[in-house]
Amino acid sequence: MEARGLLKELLEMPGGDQILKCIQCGTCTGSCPMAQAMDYGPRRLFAMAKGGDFHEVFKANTYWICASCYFCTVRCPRGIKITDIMYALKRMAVARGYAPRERSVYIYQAFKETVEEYGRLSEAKMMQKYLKKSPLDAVKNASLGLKLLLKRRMELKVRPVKDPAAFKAMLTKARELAREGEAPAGSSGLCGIKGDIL
Amino acid sequence: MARRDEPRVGVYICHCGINISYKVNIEEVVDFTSRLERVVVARDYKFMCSNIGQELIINDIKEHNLNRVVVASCSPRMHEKTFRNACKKAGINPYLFQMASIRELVSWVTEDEREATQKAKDFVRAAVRRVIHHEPLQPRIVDINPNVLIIGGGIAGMQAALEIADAGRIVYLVEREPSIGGHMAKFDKTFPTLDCSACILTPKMVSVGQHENIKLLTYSEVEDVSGYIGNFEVKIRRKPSFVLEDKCTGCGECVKGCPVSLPNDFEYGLMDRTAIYRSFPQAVPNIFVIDKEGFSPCRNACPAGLNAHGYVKLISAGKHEEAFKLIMERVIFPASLGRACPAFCERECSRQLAGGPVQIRALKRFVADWYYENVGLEPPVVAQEKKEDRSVAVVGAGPAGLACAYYLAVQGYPVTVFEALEKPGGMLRYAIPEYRLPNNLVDKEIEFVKKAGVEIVCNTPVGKDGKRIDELFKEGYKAVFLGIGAHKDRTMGIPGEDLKGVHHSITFLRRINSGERVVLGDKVIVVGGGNSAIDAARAALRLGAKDVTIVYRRSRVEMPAFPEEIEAAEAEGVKIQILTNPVAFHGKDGNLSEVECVRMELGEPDESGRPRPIPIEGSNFKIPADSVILAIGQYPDSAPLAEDGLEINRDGTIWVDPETLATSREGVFAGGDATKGPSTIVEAIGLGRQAAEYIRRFLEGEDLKARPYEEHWLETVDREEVLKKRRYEVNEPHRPSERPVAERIKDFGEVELALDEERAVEEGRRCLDCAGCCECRQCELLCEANAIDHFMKEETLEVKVGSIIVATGFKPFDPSNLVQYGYKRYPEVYTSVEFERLNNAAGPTGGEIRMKDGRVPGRVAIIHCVGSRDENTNRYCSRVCCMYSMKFAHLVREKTGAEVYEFYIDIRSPGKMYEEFYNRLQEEGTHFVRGKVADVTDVTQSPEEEGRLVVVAEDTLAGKVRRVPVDMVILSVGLTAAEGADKVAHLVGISQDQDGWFIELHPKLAPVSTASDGVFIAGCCQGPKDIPDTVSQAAGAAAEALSLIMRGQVEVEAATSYIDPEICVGCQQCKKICMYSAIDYDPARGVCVVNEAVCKGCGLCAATCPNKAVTVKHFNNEEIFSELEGVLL
Amino acid sequence: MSEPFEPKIVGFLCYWCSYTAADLAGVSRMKYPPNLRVIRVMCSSRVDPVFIIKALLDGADGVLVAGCHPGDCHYQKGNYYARRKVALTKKILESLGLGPERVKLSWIAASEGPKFAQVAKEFTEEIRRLGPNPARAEIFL
Repeated sequence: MEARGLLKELLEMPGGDQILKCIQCGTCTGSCPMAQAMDYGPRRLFAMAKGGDFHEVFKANTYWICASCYFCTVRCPRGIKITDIMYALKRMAVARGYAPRERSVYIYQAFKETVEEYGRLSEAKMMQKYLKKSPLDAVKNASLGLKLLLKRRMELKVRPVKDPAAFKAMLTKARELAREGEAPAGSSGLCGIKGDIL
Repeated sequence: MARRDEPRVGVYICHCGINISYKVNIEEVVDFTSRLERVVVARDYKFMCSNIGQELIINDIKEHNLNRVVVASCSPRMHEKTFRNACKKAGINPYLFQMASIRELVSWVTEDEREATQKAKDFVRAAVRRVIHHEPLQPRIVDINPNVLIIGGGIAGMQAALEIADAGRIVYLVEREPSIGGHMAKFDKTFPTLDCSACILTPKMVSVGQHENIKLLTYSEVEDVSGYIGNFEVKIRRKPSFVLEDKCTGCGECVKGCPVSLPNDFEYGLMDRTAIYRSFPQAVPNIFVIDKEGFSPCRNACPAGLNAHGYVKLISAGKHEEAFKLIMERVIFPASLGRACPAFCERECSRQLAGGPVQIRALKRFVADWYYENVGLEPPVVAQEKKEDRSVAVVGAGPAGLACAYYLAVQGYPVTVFEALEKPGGMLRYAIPEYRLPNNLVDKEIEFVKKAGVEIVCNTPVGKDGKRIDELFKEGYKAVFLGIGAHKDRTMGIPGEDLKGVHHSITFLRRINSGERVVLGDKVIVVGGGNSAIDAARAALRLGAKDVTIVYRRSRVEMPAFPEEIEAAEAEGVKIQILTNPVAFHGKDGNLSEVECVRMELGEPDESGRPRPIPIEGSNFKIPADSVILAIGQYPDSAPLAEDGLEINRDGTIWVDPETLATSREGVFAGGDATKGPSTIVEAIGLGRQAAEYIRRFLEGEDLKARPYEEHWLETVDREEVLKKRRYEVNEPHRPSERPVAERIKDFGEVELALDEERAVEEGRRCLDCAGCCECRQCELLCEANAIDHFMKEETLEVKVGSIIVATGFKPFDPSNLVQYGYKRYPEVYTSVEFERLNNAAGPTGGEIRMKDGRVPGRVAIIHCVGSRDENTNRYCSRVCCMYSMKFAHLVREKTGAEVYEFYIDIRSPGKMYEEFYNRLQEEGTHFVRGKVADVTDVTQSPEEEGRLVVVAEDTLAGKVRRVPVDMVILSVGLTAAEGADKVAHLVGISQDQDGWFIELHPKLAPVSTASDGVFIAGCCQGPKDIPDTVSQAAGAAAEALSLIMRGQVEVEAATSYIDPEICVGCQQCKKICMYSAIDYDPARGVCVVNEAVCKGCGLCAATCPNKAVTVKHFNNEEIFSELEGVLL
Repeated sequence: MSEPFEPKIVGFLCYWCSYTAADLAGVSRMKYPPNLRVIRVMCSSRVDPVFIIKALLDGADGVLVAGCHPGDCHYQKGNYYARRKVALTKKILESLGLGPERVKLSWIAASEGPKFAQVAKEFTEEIRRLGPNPARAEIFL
């Protein structure tokens, strides 16, 4: 059945098998600073995942709102790296084409595109790409941007790695291997939407 | 059967149901085995350990004349004994048996059947090859000593003790706290019946205390355990409680007099207790103990051994007269010391590191002044009977001489003090200026000394101008004390020293203190860096000098004067010029006009340890001056005494034996500056008192060195440790104030003002009671039963027992590191054990549940699983917390009517009536919220939360994050291994698991035995559990111990070492490494011999012997080699 | 591909700690490779360097000596002596060319069933990588 297959897939992702240890104590949701904005807190999300309700899990905005603050991971009494499972679920959702409602996905996209192009993160480039996708934010954050510039907190210069072509080749090869099933599907990396896992 | 017999081996392969047969092909193994050499019979059976299985073996042995048996089944830990017994029953020696483990080591751990079968075959072959080399051994039989040692006096230890004692055997029950009772004594009610804990515990405690077969050793610890089952030798250290157990009636009067305040560990620091205390009213034994950890740093810093801690505390308790008496036991002139002592005690005071030292000196001044004003000049103790035939002559009425005189006089020895100068007092009167120590005060204190029976004759020098020592003896004095001080000025020996205007400090100060107003002029130079120099400089100011400069040849750091004095001088306007030394004085018409000086530089250290001052050639310069005062050193006027038969040191001091203060002439003693060189008043007084004691011994014909001077002395406690354990506010001391500079330099009136009574008492309260008990001895005065002995020493008891039961209990988890719960940050967050004390009628709130500000809480949160079920702290579940949390819910509701919120992950209520208890709590309206608490915070988000603590947790059943404002939070902390459990484990030879709990022999079938024969465990030390289970285990351990005792004898493993005298060369390597000293060297034969009674069979000697003369029976080299070949070939 | 090399490993386990751990691993049904052949001794200090050398000469590919953790030896200090003996033996093996990496000393406490299984697993893998004992093919002395 599909659900079993999806749970199996989750368990095979890095950090995914830890979900079996969860005792549903609720420390994670209780500690999460973003819980109020999530459809379901981490605990409930895991309960649904373990129960096989993956459709709801993939529709949820939980891992798009997750701020990666690691509060949950630090306090979990079972020592589960909750953030790893969040990332795994995110990848699975994206791989199946679930489009999130949150604008935060543009940040992830912008990040991915910048790193792919330059081999390294450039905050200015990333912001540029992001603002193209979400122009309203340019207006909202204009004064902040200006302040950052004036205080020399924002670097405009882009500094790519020595050989961006080689880096792109590496990524291509990794994607190939992932498709062949030799490299783990969720090797820590970038995410995108519409079926692009890496 | 002799070894030369042809070995005939029977091999039995067990199926163990399907446990072995599901992985190992038994048929194959049997077939393989039957074809091995020497194997006569090879069989298999489903359950070899059953009766039928054993019958198989026995029959085969008889039928087939077998003389070796191999069983391939489970671990030898399980059934080696069983099969050995079967062999015994069949008539062959039980050691001609070998077991191969093919279950724990093969079938249960191997995936592949082929591999499992091969491995089983290898093990069986190895066992067969080995058993051929086995020899028959006789097991050792040892007697069982019927006494039992029980370590730990909680409910487990007490229960076991009662069971064994009721059976008529002797029990030594050792408990490290002053009372038995353990944690149960701290509880109020117990779940689920809500019995009052004390009500069910105290009858047992009383039974234990009164049982004739139980030797109760409280306040004691086990120091060493040696021996083996049936024959343990135990050393028990009994800590001194300073209260005689058989005399104390437990009346409690002593507590009323104790001024010390220490954190009460029994109450988890929620309240304080006195140094003499009883943990709780129903303690058994019902006696008090004194918490004395050593001596406080102040006390051991005082050169006269004055108990500073003691009198400071007495003052803080308003007991000024008692404080004065305590002071007078060790020193005289308290008012003078209170003004002029450098206060070595204050420098060591722990408060130095916590705001500022307790002003001990100022307190001494306060109490001395108070006593003189309110009680008068009456010495507290005066001997009634005078020992007329043993009178003593003292030379010198300074602090040393008068101290010696006083301490002899109060014991009844008539003393006459001969003083060369006009008035008595020595340096006190004639050197220390009156702005530090007024002479009329000196008069008063000397009057005090005279009232003790001391006669002082002035204007009577002893020495070259007056009486000789021989004369004194002729006059009938039986002993002489020389306290002549160091009154002679050193001279510089430079040109111009005889000019008018060049003064020497001691002479100068003597003139001033006699009332003379020496005219110095405007510009005064003082040469020197010691206290005399400072005194001279400040006196010069008061005599009208406008410009006073101290000139010193080294730098500031090397100046020997007290830092406070140097600061005071500078505050008054005295200038200090360092690295300068005079080389000549120039004058006009016989009067001084200039001082020629040279600049100095510092070189390598000289004999004094300070850098040598080296004059810089050609750097001479002149300073104009009206007067110069040379304060470059003093020495005793001891030259004439050399003619009286006394040995004098090179520096002028009188030689004395450092212990007895006896000089080289019999009957003549000396002390103070005369023997030490210029030092301090307190040192002089200390030496005077010491000499008095040795003079007394001399007068009574005692051997002077038979006993030390200080018979009662304890180590100084560690300041850092003290500060860690005490709760205190870091605050400034009440320092005595000083008169303003401008005013005080105009006259010789006292500079320092006294502390008033209120501030003195408050200052005394700042004392942290470093050593615990301050030995003020007030408790002794109040004890009608004379049960207090402050000089009690620790005792060691040696006992012999046959078995040991360890019942050392647990320690509650300390949640201080879990910052999210706010423990120790918010006052209203309690651990469960602290909360128990709030509920207990003998606790800090008398059993009422109150917040720290006295309010009744309206809403209480109880947080489960603090320190349990958590990878970050302890992984295990502590088993009792759910139940006791619910107990609290009930008690809170009942006593205060408050709303109770229980935050849990699971409710664990497995025992009898436990689930019903849970139901009851639900029906009482307890709010059960399923969610582990994420935070306890005081950051509020709504008006309802103001002034309260907010508990944040997800209510997982409702799926919402809740913020619950409450008044009080209780953390249900888990159980952890007891403090010092590792030490106990090591002592008795048992192991701890990864969580610190002691390991039982078998988790299911032998929960109270351990791998060490004769040592049993019971209660929480084996793992967290509730009271019913603890009592069950205690009874179980007692039964095991009694079973041993009833058997009377037990078989001990026969596998000891043996040394072949033919091969041994006597190199004694084995003897050196044996950890049990079980090997002796026989010089007659030149070989080593093993003492089988002591040998434990570890085999280290065998592995060490270079000639292989040592073998371990049943584990000798041949046996192991053949086993090796069996698995490898 | 020829048959994969299956190492033969001898393990000297001390009765009080490591043997108990092995039993515990068995009771907990932990699976580990079957290459380890256990020989029980009372204390790791009983292990004579001669045993280790004989084991290697007889064809063992690896030798494991397991005892109690330092400070916890049932016979007080036996495991310290065991450590020294193993260290000495390794030096001797080095000079004999017998491969000191084939000898391993491990501290395994009585409650450490999982650790025993892990050590068995890891050591087996290590020996598998080192290959067969050269003594099998050659004759010494």
